[in-house]
Amino acid sequence: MSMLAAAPELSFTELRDALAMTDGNLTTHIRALQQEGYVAVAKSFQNRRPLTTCSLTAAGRKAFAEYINLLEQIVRQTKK
Amino acid sequence: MQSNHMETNWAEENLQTIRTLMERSALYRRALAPIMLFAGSLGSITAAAGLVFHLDSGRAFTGLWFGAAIVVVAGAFLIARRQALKDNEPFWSPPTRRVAQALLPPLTAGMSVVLIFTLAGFEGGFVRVLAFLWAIFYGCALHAAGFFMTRGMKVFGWIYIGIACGALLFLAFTNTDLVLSAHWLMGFFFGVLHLAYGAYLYLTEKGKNAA
Repeated sequence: MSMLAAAPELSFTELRDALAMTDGNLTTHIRALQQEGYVAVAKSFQNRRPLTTCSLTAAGRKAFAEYINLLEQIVRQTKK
Repeated sequence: MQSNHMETNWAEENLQTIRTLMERSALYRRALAPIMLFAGSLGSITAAAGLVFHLDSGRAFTGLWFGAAIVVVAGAFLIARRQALKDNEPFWSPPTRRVAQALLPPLTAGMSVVLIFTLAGFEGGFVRVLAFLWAIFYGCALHAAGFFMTRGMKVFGWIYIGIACGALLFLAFTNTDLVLSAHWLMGFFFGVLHLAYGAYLYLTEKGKNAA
């Protein structure tokens, strides 16, 4: 989610390589997020090769922002 | 204790980095289809009014379309604000600010250039050139804003620039006399094209939601 929040969209291979995950492992995570409506997956072709890109939906962006807010609150409380 | 404090600072810095990256990458997605449809409808009505009432002099033409532009901007502002309130989001968000900053210079330049030519008293066939100039600057504005919006916006900007420049070059090199009223040109650029793009956005958004 952090990676997708920092970019308009990322390809499946970019996510897999950056997170050092296997194809199956990443697919499971993306599927779970997709089912919750947080991630949108688009399939297209680039240079005649299939390209899968992922992006955060509006709901996903909102949920992630709330998550970041919560973490920041926890850190502030801890500092006190 | 010191280790705990250092970890808290580390957490805070990382969260700040995530937040900054998140805000920088966020695209403006708010209410594009309704805004385009509103702008297209008003553009078509304004063109019809210009034709019906024969507002063909430079000053009448510029005054009419300046007025329409002000109404469109105000309407777009209200539509975007309504959606922001509905989604419980701040209206003046970082993506909205970036889009506004990108739009301002080319729109200001376009308005100024047309105003200068109008005040200088250019009339007759030159009024049609004003329509093309407006379309070119508007296309530049859309393209600039497109860096912070959905992909189609840059292409939409290029459509304006391409058609207007192409038409001007054609008229200049072929020495063709364009008999069409400038209001027809404005109706096409700011009526038909907006309506077409708004319909495209609305239908593709509907398709995504259905999927």
